[in-house]
Amino acid sequence: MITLRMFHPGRTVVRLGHGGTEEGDERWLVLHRNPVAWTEVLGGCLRLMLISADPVAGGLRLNRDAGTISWQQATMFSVLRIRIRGFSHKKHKLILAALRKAARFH
Amino acid sequence: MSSAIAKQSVVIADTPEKLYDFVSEAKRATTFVPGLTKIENVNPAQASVGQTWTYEFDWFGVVFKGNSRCNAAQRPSKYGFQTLTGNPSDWTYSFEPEGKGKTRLTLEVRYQVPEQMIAKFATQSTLEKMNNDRAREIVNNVKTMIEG
Repeated sequence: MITLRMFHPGRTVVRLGHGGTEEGDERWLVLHRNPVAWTEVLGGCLRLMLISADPVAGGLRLNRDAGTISWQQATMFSVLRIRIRGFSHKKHKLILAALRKAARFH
Repeated sequence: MSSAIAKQSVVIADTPEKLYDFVSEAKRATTFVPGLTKIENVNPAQASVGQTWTYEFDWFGVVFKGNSRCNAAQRPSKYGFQTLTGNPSDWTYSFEPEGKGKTRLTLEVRYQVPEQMIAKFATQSTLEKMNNDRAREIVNNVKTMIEG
């Protein structure tokens, strides 16, 4: 099936200002209709990129001190804080793009 | 409906086996193929000829949804699949050893060009350039993922 994308599909992901986080860190507001299993969505995405992560309270801790992803979830929205360290600039961008895609569509 | 080919390659510092395993996990493609938003219903889980899945691909605002089927799983030299519905295309990744511990990854995509997209983007050559750029981005993304 071929369609023109007229409306925003999936969840809405809005990048917020750094708001006290370090440079390179990201904060995203995600609007959703149903609760999201972030551990599975984001942990699964990291696994596909060969980045291991362990669930911790309210988030994920990437192995080898590669950073953390934490979230606060309400009924209709979540705020994600993404802190990734130790990768090249290109890979950092690729990881963020993949996580954003996962947050929106998975 | 006319057809076209996009082909790009890159040398990556890892073995053909490692690259084959990386590329042939169907779900992983969403992390390195720009515009590929969903891979679902992968069956069976392991890459093999006949493996199928559903996909959703956003090509600059035009969305293709359909079914894919693996048609080549020759570890570690060749992995391929066809998109059967949506927009028919044939994707082949080849992995050739190139020097010690290095591999040349080549992606070749044969695809049909829907006439309505020609109308939207004016010329077939523009469309082919966009697809070649996408193919280059894909192999470079795999290189970045593997090499860090």
